[in-house]
Amino acid sequence: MLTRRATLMGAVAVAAAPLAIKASASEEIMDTSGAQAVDLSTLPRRKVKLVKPPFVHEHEQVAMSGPAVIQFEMKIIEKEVQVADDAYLQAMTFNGSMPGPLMVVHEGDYVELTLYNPPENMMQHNIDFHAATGALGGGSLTLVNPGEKTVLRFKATRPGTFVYHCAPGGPMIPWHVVSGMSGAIMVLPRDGLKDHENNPVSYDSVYYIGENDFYIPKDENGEYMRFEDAGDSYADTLEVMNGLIPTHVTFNGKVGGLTGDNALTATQGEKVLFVHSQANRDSRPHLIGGHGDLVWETGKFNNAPERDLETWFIRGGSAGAALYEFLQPGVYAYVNHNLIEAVNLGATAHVLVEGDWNNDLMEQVVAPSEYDVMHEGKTALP
Amino acid sequence: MRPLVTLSAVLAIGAVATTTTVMLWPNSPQIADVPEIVVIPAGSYSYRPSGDFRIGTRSVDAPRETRSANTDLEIMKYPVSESLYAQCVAAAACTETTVIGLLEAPQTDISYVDATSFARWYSSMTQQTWRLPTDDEWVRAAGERYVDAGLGIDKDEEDPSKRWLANYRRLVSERGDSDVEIHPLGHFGVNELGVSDIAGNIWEWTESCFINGQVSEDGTAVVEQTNYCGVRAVQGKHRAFIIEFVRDAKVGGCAVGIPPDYLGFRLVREG
Repeated sequence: MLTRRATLMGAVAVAAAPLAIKASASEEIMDTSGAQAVDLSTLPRRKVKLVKPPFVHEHEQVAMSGPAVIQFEMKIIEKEVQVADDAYLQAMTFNGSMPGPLMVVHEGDYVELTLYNPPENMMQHNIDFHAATGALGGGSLTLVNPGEKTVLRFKATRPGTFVYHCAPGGPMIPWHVVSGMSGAIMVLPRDGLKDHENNPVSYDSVYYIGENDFYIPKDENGEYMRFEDAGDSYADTLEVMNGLIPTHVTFNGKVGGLTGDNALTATQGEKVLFVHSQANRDSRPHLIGGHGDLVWETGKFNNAPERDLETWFIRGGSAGAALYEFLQPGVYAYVNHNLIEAVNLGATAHVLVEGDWNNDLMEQVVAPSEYDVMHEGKTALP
Repeated sequence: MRPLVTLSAVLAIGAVATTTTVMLWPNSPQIADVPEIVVIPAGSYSYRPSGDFRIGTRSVDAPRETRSANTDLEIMKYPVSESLYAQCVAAAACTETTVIGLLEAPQTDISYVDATSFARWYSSMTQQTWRLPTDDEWVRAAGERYVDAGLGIDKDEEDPSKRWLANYRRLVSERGDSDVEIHPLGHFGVNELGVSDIAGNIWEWTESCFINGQVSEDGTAVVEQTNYCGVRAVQGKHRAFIIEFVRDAKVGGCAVGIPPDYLGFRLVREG
């Protein structure tokens, strides 16, 4: 009798086959063992442990030494995750979180990732780094079956924030991405970030906002369906995906992922770098009550940042960065300013900022109160 | 025991409604079997008025008042059930809304308009006066389950962000996680007064409007107020103000608030 896993692996192969000609590159599995060896033995090697978003592992903003090989490990976890009060997703994740963790290195460093696909998983996975050059971003060098691991090394040649995602071929690509398999890497210039006049700028803290769009099928009663495993969910999910209208748009993997107890915090005067990634779909971050002081909308640090933005555009398949100094205390909402997605589908984060209110920036001159309709308000209209 | 509504009663009322185009209220009670009532005895209780209160231009907690009720209050022990609301829908006196198909479950996805339509119909059917409770009547019936709306911030605190942040944190801690399962009536148990399901996952509509009020310098009394009735207070784990035609506050909340899980209602009977 076929096991669920064997059936699914078979399905993957069948599903991928018709695409072999028109998308042959994405099916190609290659290796680099025949190419000329590179000697990196003189470079220092440093291990960095990744942390769960929205937090980011400790790192230098200005590199204090020369290029190094930065070693990361990630384990792919397939598991059911609650993404809203009434909705569950058969998720596939890098390191157990949606989004996957933010990796930070400097330009010229070598990123060396060990990718584990544990035996309890059901599917093949790989990783495509938009920051990397060649081999489909590493995708064709990293396809791992359950129980396998692989090590990929690439040179971080371009400074910026970049998406990484799973891309295991054919229709599996979008499905794995909307099942949660994306994250970002930030490649900092060795001498740190620069403002529009090329003066150094730094941040006091960094938050990584990973945005996901989910496509969860509903049953005949309008209730979100729950599935035994990812394979079980595929056909119904594909139907919703192909309609292109997500059922949920989330920050940090679930509706409310960054609100309430999970709200972000800052203090007045703190400069916060918000790194925002969306691997599949366009987004437009907006900080209600605040701005982007310096915004690398496309995320690439060799381009001068834009200033004083109200809303910035994150193209599907990219990551951007926005630096903001909080000037006023209170509650801020960081939203996708398609407000339907923000309020009804979930793309809202809150930032709680402590400090002293500044009436020079804003004051309630007259509190809401009844006015004299007979005598007031006559001069307003043209 | 709570009376169970029989299917034949529902059908009978439905038949009346379909044969008449103009609503004709009966002269004799059509429903004699009313739901279980709890009597809240007259007496004093602690209360904070509902809305936005200021000393001058500075937002402060509404004053905590000791109020005194001269009469007993008769309130439904349970929220209005799906089966009871279905009778009103069948009579074409209420608008259809979401049902989960469990007759002894509270009716949710109810707007203020729905709740008051039901109260009008139910009053005519029973030949008794039924209406939504006011906010302070609900507080009386909630007993120890009433959550004091005060933030405990010093009335002299000048910085508006302190109240704002405190309010956000209080909502987060009081609300806990939302509960999206609709439970049968009685699931959340009775309070010390015998009223069931107070402050579960259903926020209940009240008659009370949003008040813009001025508070005395010492913070103890409301000295001036204006009512705004486009929104009404709903009560549960916290007090929220909801626009009268909204049935589901879960979606469409404001950018930084925390909305009720479900909207439902129970009625009081005037003696």
